[in-house]
Parts: sequence; C-alpha cells; structure tokens
Amino acid sequence: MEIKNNEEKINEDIKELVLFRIKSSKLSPSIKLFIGNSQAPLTTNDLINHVKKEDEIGKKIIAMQMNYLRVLKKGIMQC
Amino acid sequence: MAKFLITRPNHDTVTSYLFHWSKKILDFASKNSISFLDITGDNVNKKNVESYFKKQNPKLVFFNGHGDDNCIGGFKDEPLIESGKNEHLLKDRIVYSLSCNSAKVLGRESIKKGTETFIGYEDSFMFYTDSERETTPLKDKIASSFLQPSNELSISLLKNKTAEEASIKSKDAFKKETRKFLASNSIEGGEMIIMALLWNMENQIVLGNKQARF
Repeated sequence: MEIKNNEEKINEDIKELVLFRIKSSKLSPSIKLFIGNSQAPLTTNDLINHVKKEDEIGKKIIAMQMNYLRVLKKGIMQC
Repeated sequence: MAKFLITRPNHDTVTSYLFHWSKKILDFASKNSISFLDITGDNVNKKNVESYFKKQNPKLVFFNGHGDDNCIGGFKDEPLIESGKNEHLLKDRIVYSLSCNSAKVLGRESIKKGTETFIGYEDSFMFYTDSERETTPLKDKIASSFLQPSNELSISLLKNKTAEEASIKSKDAFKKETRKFLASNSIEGGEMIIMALLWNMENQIVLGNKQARF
C-alpha cells in the first residue's frame, strides 16, 4: 500500500522497514531532529517510539523515509 | 523606509536557531546597504507586524517562526498572519515563510488575496541539530546544512534574483548538502540527515508570480 497522506493507516511492512532503518542508522545521540512545531528535539529512540505509535510525528517520519526511497529510485543525484 | 521586513521571534530552541541563522541575511543586507526592519523577540506580535506593514509597506517579507497550514506564528506562537483573517496584509508583497506548513493553505489563500509571491513549505520544515551546540547555534555544522540553504533563498532574493531563481538556488544548496553527506563517512547515520534535507527540498514551493523580483 502506498502512503498517500498522513491520515491513511500505515502498512505494517512499511512501518517495520522504517523502524529497521532508524534502528540501524547509528546516528550520534547528540544529533537530534526538530520536526515542525516540536518544542523538544527528537532522539533516535523518540523517532522509534513515534513510528511505533503511528502518531502525527510518526506518520511524518514514515512519509519522510518513503520520500527518500522514492528519490533514491529516481536517482538521488538527479533530484 | 525599510525595503524588507524580517520577523525573528526567539522563544524556544527552534526559533533560537532561526533567530541566529537569519542574522546572516541581515549581515548581507547591511553590507549591501539594503534597508530593513528587524522585528525580534516579544516584538514579533500581530499588532506590531500589522502596524509595520501599514507604515513601512515593505515589498519583501521574511517570516521565521512556527506555523501551520493556516497560520504564521510570532513570539510564543501568537498568530501573525492567518488564513481567512488577515492574509490580505501580504497583498503585492513577496513573502518567504520559514514557518512549517504555511504554504499549504495560507500561502495559496494569500495568493488569491493578491500576494505577489509566496515561497514556503507545504509540510514541516525539519532540521537536525547537534545538541552540544544548542547554545551556540552558528557553530552547529549539522544545523548549518539545513539553515544555510534557507538563507540562500533569502539572500538570492536580495540579490534581485526572481523568486523561482531564488528557490532553485536554495534547492541546489540542499542538494549540495545532500551530496556532502552521501560522499562523507565522517558522520554515522548521515542517511537520516539526507532524508530530512530532501524532505525540505521537496516541500519548498513558489506560489504566485515566479518571476517576481525584489
């Protein structure tokens, strides 16, 4: 199933793929993500928890990863 | 009379980063004798912004702050410009809104109400920071990869590039940063940073007159 917008139920396979990619990213703990209006920066563990919960931030993280995979498919240097 | 107006609330970590990094835009303007009005901190409220629009009538406006589909926020997220309420204040102006999601509805509605050009983001603007650098944002090389491409847009507009050219310059800068992380093994997990860079690049849009110049 393709993710068309944040309202749609997330396919479990996609969710697992995203979780795997985040867990294996090895990003330094000091590097944190600010998404939109978030007051607190998100650690890798926070990202994992949001994706698991499929809340608004989790859906956005999944959308960001799927966007990346689409860009990879068409050629990242041509993006 | 100020030629452009910039809002720089500074009430949390995100707005602190935007506050400090947008100073580079003002440095460029000062060096090139371009007059501006810099509204900062708790002065970034609806009353002041509306007043400055009427008195100074700036052709170009840079908003920095939080936002959503319908709104650009100021100090402590007080709505400055809201869809269906006061977007007419942007009439005939070129706007660059570094404020999450604000291009999605507000940007489009403002164009209907006469805004010449609205450049912004259709979804969240995301950026990574190095938490060890949060007290000195300008020394944060990770955040630089996100905020320098945004500054490229503003500075290109000040260099009299068209809105479309300015956006292309900004997107080229996002691509350059992406290549840096692709080519470098110095940062583990760089792929996560690339994802956010590409996300911002893809969500940046130019609405209205793409050929507008400052």
